[in-house]
Amino acid sequence: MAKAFPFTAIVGQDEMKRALVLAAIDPAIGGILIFGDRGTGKSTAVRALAALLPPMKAVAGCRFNCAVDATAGLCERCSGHDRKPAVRSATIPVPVVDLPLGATEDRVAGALDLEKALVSGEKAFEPGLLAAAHRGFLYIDEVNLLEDHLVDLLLDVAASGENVVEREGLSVRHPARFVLVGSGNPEEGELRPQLLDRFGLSVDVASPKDIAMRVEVVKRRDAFERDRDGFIERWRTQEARLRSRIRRATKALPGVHVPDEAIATASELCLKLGVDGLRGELTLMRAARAATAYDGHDTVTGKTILDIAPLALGHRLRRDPLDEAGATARVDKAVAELSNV
Amino acid sequence: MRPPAEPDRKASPWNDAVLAAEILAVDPAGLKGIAVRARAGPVRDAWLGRLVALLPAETAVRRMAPNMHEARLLGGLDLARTLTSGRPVLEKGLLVEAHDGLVILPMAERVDRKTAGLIAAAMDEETIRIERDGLSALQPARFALVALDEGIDEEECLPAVLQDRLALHVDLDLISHRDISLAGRGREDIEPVRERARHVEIPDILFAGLISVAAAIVPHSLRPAHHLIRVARIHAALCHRDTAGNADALAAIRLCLAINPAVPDQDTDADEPQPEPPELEEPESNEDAPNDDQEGHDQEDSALNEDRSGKENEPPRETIADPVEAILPRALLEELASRQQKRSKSAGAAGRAGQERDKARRGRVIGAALRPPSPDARPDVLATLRSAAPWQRLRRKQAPSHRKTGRQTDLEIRADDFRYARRRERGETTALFVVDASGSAAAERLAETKGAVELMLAECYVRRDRVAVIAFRGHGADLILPPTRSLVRAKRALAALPGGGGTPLAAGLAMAYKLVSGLERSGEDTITVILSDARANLALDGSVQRAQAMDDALDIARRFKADALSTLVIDPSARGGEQAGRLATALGADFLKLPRPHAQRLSAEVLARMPRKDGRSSRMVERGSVSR
Repeated sequence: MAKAFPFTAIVGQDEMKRALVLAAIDPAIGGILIFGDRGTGKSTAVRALAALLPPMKAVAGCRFNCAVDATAGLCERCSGHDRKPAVRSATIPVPVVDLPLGATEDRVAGALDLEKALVSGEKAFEPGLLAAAHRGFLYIDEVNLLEDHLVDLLLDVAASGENVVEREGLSVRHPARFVLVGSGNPEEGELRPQLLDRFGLSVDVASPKDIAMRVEVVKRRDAFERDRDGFIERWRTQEARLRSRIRRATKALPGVHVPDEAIATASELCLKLGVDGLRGELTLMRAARAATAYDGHDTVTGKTILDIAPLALGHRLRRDPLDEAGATARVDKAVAELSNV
Repeated sequence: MRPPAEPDRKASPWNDAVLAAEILAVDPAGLKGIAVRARAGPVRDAWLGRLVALLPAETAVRRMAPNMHEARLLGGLDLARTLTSGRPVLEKGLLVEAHDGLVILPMAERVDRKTAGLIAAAMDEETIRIERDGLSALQPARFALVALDEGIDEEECLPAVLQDRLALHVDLDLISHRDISLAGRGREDIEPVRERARHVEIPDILFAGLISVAAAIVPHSLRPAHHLIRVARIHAALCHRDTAGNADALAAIRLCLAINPAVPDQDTDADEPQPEPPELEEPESNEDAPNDDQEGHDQEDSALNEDRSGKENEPPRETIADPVEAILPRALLEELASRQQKRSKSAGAAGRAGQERDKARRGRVIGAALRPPSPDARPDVLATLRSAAPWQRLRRKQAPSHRKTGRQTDLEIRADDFRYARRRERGETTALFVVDASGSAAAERLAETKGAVELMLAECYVRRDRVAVIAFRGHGADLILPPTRSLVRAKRALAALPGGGGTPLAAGLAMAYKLVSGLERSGEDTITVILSDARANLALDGSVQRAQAMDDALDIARRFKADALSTLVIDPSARGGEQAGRLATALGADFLKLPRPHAQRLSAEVLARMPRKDGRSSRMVERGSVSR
């Protein structure tokens, strides 16, 4: 596969880049939904993220990317291991798995190993994309065109954090926690509300209006295509810098403190906007903590909460189709009112 | 023998088409392909022949059909070889066979969204990822798509997802076979251009100019800008130039955006393909010294930043760089921009005509599903056998011993093997609102219609039906919302609805009839809802004549009835008039009086009349009846 365009070389699209970075720092935030017109760099950004992320530790050779120090949430093989001889650990890149259009359920969830069945008549489980994406990202382009039964499968797994496969007398259960990233063009169709709710953050992207910015985007892309290796080399320092920053933020995250005032601000905002109680607020708080860690601070402020609000709440408002103002406008308005208090 | 820098060809549609083929031949996979608007015939064949002749002799050329089965396009398990060899063998899909070659897609305007999406994904990643039927594979697939758009109406065109990615666009429809000539470059001329093109420089000002033009014509996507740059470079290399100049920029604009900047009464020295000196002509309004390119660029930037226009949906017209003015007069640009916006509104409408409905019972088979589409569906025997075949060895091993003595040919079939045919039923229902936006009550009526449309669309992810809106007032009728399922699109299109003026009822009905009969022709169900008191006062020819206006309207109405098109007339006026009733009778439509129509009631009435998924209509009223 071709090498990815460097994340730090993406011009503008600050909100989208921010959402992706926050999800990398704290996967518990939930998935990211990126909605926007054609040719706005949605897929480019997600694929660039894969190259950017700092590598992680996993059990060597484990098909499910099991964590080394964990005692729970492991696959059958890893939890069955006699733990005394130390489990060998390997450093692997954070998985960013693409769900291709035309994927069938058996490859997504995993099924019998075809080769083994054919060659030796042996029954073995061949893990699917959900296993490969564990502790990483699962990317779905054109998410609003996804087939219904796949949507159902993803919702199930996202809710339980586990994938259960029962076929041909096989019964396999393995952990599957990943950040779901979906991108698409809203003009192609609506997303089911149940699926929409699964996403932690949402961003609307558009092509830049500023000609100078557009020129820069095309120039960089052009340079990248004419000399991929050279371009990636030129941006290597920037990439490394962002990578370290993300690594530091991930380490600092458990130490970030959320004071009562910040919680109160979040609740007030959610009440004002009529957001579905719990999930919106939780996401808002988690995202604010990640943002605080990223900025190098250790206490979440009300200002950060209000800053993050559009990302976390934008898609949780789409209830009333008769409402004139778009979702972002409503969030901005509420945020403005609260900041003046 | 070295060909002349610019072969002595006059600018003509055929020569442009040949030029496009030459440019494509230089870098097929990089340009992603070409959209050719042309019906089948000698001109198209001749052009295709030229294109293939320009490519290296061993280039793979594959022809695909717009309704091709997914498995054939992408590939999958080669069942026969798998069973014989005892190992999984991959069958190459058509897109993989075309690696480093061409894919020709005739009737491209009829390709459905899903297939277009598959092709687009393959073009973006230059690989085919297979995750189906137990197989997981990654295969290279770098190809160029030659999309042959055979559409006749303006509404029939390529799906936007493909149109955006294909760099070149040509139209062969206006070319007669008498215009075909053999002049042009040959394969051996194209070969050296590939390397030369990589080193062509584009001056900053020209770069910015091309981006500005792209921004004006296609504001929402940056891909056309990339295409312009690439094509300008290749054109320069074809003409043996090291630096791209105005002629190259113009050629790129003609071939990528399918527009011809030639305006008869303007100064036309810019658009004849004469060999030009490599340095730029400085446009008169640019104050900087000609050699100081960098400073000129900065000055341009600050001017651009100040001029930035505010409204979200408008292209940044005020920010068009000065050099572009020299290439394309502003008035022409604006006209082209509006034409493009009209085109993009209906892009892919015809392709969507074949949109699958997952629970369809009729129609052609397009794939195999694991779950039955309806409780009493019959399994697809062949697909079921295919899915059971690879596991036979395994199952025989595990079969209980008394069965092992059975015949070798017995098949072990499990519940998981069953496959059901996924059919594409050409059918969704489109609800078309024809709204009377005339007079003083217009604003309220429009607002309620907008509300009803949005309520219906909010349900649409379940129903998979579409909504469209035509408004008529003043000068005539406008299709303000083309058929769509997207709430976002509806909100944008209905955001600012104009109202007031005379009542051109006939014009509104005429536009509605055209749209609806087109949809019905492609197999869709429609329901037309006319929201008006039918007090027409503008005739089709524009004259303010009540009697004539009503006659014109009734004439068209009768065509609705003759074609048995499903219609509903809603009279929103406070005082009753019998005109709306007369219209309903002529249409053969249901008639409702709804003084002060509310969005909820409106949408409920329309939804009640739309056919349900099981084929039965859930209409509560008899056709042609009147209710209060």
